[in-house]
Amino acid sequence: MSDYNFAYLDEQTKRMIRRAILKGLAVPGYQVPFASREMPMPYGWGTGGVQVTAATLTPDDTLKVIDQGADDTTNAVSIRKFFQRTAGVATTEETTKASVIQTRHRIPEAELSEDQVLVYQVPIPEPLRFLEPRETETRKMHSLEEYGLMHVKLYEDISQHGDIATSYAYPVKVEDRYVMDPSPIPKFDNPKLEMAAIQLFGAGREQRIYAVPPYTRVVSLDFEDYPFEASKADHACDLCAAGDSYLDEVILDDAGSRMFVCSDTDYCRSRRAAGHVGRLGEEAA
Amino acid sequence: MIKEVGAQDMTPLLQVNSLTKMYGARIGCKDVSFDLYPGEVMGIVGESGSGKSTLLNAMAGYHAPDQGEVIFDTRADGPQDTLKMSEPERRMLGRTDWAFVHQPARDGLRMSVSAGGNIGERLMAVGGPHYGEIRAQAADWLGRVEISDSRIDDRPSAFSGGMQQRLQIARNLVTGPRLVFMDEPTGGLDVSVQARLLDLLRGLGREMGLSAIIVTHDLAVVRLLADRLMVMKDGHEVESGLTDQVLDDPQHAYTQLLVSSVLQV
Amino acid sequence: MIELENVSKSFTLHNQGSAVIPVMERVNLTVGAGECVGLVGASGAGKSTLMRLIYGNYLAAAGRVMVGDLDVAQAAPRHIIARRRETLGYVSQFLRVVPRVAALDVVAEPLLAVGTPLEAARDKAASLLAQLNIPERLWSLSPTTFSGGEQRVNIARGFAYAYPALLLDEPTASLDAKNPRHGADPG
Repeated sequence: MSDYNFAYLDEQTKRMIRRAILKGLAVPGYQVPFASREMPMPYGWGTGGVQVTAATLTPDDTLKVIDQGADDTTNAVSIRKFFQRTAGVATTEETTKASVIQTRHRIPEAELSEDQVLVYQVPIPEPLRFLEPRETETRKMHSLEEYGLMHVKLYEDISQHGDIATSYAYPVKVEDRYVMDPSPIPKFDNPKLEMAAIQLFGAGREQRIYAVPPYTRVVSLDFEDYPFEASKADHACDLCAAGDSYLDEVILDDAGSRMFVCSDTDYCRSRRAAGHVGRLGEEAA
Repeated sequence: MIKEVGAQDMTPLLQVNSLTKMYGARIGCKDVSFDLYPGEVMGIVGESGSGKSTLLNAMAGYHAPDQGEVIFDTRADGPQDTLKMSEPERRMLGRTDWAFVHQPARDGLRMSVSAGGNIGERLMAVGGPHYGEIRAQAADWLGRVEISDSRIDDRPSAFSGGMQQRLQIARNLVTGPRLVFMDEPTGGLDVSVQARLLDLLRGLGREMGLSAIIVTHDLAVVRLLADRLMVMKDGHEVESGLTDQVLDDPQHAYTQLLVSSVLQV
Repeated sequence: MIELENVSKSFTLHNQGSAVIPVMERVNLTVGAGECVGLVGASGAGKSTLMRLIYGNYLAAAGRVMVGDLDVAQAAPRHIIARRRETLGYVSQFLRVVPRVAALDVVAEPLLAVGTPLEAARDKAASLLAQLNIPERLWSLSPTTFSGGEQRVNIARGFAYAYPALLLDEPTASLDAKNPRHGADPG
């Protein structure tokens, strides 16, 4: 295959990362510092997620990589190829067939199972950073469960926009203890954070790993009179007619005509394969 | 509402015993002791470097003193040495029964958060928050510090110095604290703005029965706000007593010098 | 009500060669409830000093200064403050209040301090200001801004709350001939 160690990172580094992952699983939602390595890709391309994936993969795994729900975007393709070359693992675009899924900005629509691991790429792991730039202070706030500031952010949203305008990276409280940034997934995905699969979060530049074990309670923060709502565009998918999936809006021409399609490409494809047809399904397929 | 009167056996709200803070060999403040009773307002005056701010920060738990006790009469457990409290306990006290008014005001505000959010922050720390209630309380407090509630969504950076200070006061008093530490509350404000702020503080103090410790170099401020006075020099207390008595009949040489140095208008 | 026993007072000027200025020595005075006592004497005789000793504004060097059952010469500040709030009023020709506060509120403040509701305190203040011949249009102004304001407002403030004991230190000293009569008859 190549001169690389399995999955690029040396075994020492992988052990270090696995210790951080295990600690993260033991303390759900807590940000574990780790010695993030230089990776052969720039920050912002998922170096944190890649290191977590590298430490998680075994030769028997089947890997799926998605970016904004799609398997075929540049970021997803390059990371998939990276692991094909450095680990030689099987890859797939089918959610149900993958044992490890690395994702950026989405949770797959298909329900994940106990034998799967979902790895998130995280740009800014600290949910309190928005209002409190001091790392020493935010760490103290976490350790003392002083989370009033999190609601200040939501308060500001409502006072400026009339409702909670935060639509992605919507803060959650994990197992009644730590407030966590679920990475920039749409808040539509927040309810799915309570799942059967293991969820691991890696922030390369910020050198943090955190985790949500299977079946952990994950509650989106809100106000009594402004309860959390998992919103999406009020349409069905124009290709597969799904009414329950998160949609991307696609502009079709200069006249402003547009279509809505599932952001999860595998979900859309499998529905169409099963015979579901949306408004523009015939032409597009 | 009315301050309790003449009760000889009343428990002090705050007992400061032999509080000492050193900076290496240099004295920050040394062996300072006093009792503060519910509803009392005490002024601490002295020149720059007299140790008055060091003392305030040591009492409020911002800088750990080297020696001494700061005993607060907590609601739940009676008198407790706050210096021996765990950090969560002390921070909880700092968000509920204690308040600290910083100088300059921007040090005590979140400048990137609206006025309403600034006032609401302490309220949001408690579970199951209700936006409408928090906003109503914020609007009410803006009114109490004489800021129009039409400014509720403006950021403090759009406010004048006097308004920022009043906002900081609202942000601190919204949880109904029993003890307020103030560092030069009128510092850096125009004289005309100072007068309004002093009147506001007197009114709020009377309505809420607040106890306060006010550090200032301005003798006119303590004459109008403080029931009693402590004069500090080189980290030591040189004289204390009833405010107007200390100012009008100072006993100690340094106090006499301090009082006679004030320009008369 | 007020009882002075062997009260002495001197001032030590530490910054002027520690000069000691004796003002009074072993003064005794008893004022019963309901009594009205006048102090007369030349300037510098110690009339004002005596008043200030009773009010706690000056610290007695020796002796006891009893106001009710409290020795003002020894008492803790909070007890003197309480005594001043509830029992002992003081009116001089000088007004020491927050600048730019309305005359009406200056007069009402002693009532608010003992828990009188705002409306009632303002009503009482208004009637006092009217009695002292201050036109209503001036009530919202600071007492320092109109002629004779400080003195008249000071008198009104002194009488707003019905103190069991009141110290009057030349309260009408700088009022003109027409106004003292109003000042002397507060009702």
